[in-house]
Amino acid sequence: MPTKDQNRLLYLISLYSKPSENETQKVVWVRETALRAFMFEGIVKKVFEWDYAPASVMTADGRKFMNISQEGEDDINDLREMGLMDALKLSTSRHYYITAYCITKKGQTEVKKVPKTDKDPVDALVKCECGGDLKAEERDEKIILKCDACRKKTESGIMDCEDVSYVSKAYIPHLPISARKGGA
Amino acid sequence: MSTEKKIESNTGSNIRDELNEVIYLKDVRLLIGEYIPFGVNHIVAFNTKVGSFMRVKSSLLTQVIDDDPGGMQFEIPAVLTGIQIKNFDKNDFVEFDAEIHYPEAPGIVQEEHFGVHVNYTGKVLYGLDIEKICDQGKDHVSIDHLSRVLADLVQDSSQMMDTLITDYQRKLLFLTYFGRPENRDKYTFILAKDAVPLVPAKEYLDGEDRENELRQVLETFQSVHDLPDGAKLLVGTHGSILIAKDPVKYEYVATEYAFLMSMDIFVQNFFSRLFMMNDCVKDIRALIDKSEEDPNAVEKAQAMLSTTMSDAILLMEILEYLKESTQALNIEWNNCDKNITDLSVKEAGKRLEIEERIIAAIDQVHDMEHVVDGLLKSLEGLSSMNETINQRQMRHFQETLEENARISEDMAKSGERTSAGVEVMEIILSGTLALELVGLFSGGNAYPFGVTDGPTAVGWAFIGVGFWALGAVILFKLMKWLGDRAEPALVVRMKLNRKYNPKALKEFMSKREITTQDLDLYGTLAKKKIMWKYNDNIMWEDLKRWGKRKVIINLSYDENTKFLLNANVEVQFPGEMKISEVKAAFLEELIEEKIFQ
Repeated sequence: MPTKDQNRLLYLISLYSKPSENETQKVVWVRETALRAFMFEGIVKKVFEWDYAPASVMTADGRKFMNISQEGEDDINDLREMGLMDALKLSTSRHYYITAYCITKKGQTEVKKVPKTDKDPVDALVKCECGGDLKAEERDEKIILKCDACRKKTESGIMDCEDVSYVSKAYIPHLPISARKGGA
Repeated sequence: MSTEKKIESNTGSNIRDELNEVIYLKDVRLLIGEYIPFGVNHIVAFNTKVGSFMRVKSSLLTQVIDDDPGGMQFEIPAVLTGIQIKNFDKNDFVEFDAEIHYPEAPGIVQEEHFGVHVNYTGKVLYGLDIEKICDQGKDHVSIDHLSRVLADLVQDSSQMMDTLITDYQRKLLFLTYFGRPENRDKYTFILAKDAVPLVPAKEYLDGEDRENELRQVLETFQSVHDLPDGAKLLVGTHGSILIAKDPVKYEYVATEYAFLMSMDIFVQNFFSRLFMMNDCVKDIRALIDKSEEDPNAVEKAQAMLSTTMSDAILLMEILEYLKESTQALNIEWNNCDKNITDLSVKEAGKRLEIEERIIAAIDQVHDMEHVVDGLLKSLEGLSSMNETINQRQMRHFQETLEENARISEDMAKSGERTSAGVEVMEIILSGTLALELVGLFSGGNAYPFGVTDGPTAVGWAFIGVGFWALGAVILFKLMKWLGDRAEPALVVRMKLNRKYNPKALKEFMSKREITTQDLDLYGTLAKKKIMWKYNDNIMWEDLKRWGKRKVIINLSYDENTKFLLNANVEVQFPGEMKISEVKAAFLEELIEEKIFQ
């Protein structure tokens, strides 16, 4: 039985992906980075009750620090284990591997059971002020949330890693003499 | 029993989220590893740069490049990094403390001190003890906060190192990390004296809150172990945590593992770069294949080939550094492993599979040698193919040129014949005209002007022929003078090849009437040609530099690289101005308008 956050996540994925109905129909997948952007925006807007922290992750443009929710990632894995969504690994032109997700037919059945109280906050998250649908795209090292209807673009804060004050003391580890000088 | 609680205070941070704390650590030491291609010469240069040989072993660092080293003074923003040398060997290693004060968001105070060890095998280790995060001391280091500190340290240490390594090393990192070396990743080993809650290692893998929280610093869990002395070892793909009463004894194993994993990150990027270059080889081959259809294909292939070839040579050099580094690491580990007597440390080394990883790294490098070798051979093959096609095209070009030259020669000969004929016709016609005029004015009979006792008819005929010859000469000279007047003037061609100021050039052009503009776009080049004239009107001005002459100027420049390429200046009345005067007049005009940067 999916949790509230899992229900909302599944509904979010259902809005941006679609399994094929027959052999000729193409499958619509949602890229991991775009999904992560909505997951982060969802945490900030209290749609999801997860934490996030900066983590170095692979994007279309190489490794970058992004605000990633480990609970969110865990919920993705839970939904996959429940057979409600599929993950696809694909190679980019830079030979990195990125992941994309798609709801399964079982997931589509499950999503029908998601209560309106969980669907509404997700709808508010993915809708522009004009009523159009928002899309997250990685462009010029930024994640842009854009609306095709009114052409409005806003930058997601997912790349904006937060700072903390801290004090550290330098420490040089004790290492053996180098191999060139005869090893340790 | 869940230990989850909300972090009540995020004082000294700009965290927007409410953090749920599940685990916290005590007395945290961070060991961050990184691989940078180094050799003995680089270590010597590094020692010189950080001032190891100086009496006072501390210095400040800046990323500013001195573009006027001959000057007396300079002004730069406040210096943000200071270092203090602790130990060094000229050809082997250097150890120093670094203090960083990069600008942070308002309200954030970071006293960032870390120790750095760099050696000739490319091993770079950053070490630091956490004293305080936000308003919590070293006995309460939240994983949520630690993840943010790590993100900051990884980025700041890259920025600091980039000021110290050589241009060549920066080039190698730029190539390996796809032009984004500032985003390069590092592996972190976290040593802590205690954790709350302190549970058997497997219990951290609960699939829920604890695991999720630890994944913020470890990424994906690889394994968890309880060591004989009660220490807990949590191994992740991005970092590891070791919780032990005496973490110092694990230090060597931890640094070795952090470095190995960082080298693995480097190798993964290197491998991706290799594959990307194989794609370039395919693209070059495709361009060569369509060289007969696409007139630009050979040129494009040549440009790509040249870049890919130079990158492949750099990759080969990186591979040599990796080879030396893995071999040195193997010797070092074998020597050290023998001396490890503590069972728990030995067990940690075994659990971390350090020996296996070193052997795997050696094999990986060996395997990549074949790939790089294959890549270089493919590029050499493509280079010969391209050369052959180039030669074929040149041969076609030469044949066409010879054919054109033959046609031109035939046409010139035919033109010369026609011209000679026309000149003879001109002389005959002009003489005939003169004769007709004499006849017209003289009455045109046997006794012109009614003179009967003058020359005979034959005599008058000779006089007529004389007028005929005189008229022909006058007309011939007149035609030649007119022809000379119509010839173009003194033409001066200049190569400029100097950087220009786009704003000044735009302003310069707006003051002149540009009659023609051509733009050639090819690849990154945008070659533009403009033409303007002086004194092209009926009323001629007396210009400062050109006088009352008609002047036509053609200027070529590259809009992308912002370089003025060449200029042609045509000045009327050759002989009145010298070539050097024309050149000086034109350059003065550009200098006066501040066109050159």
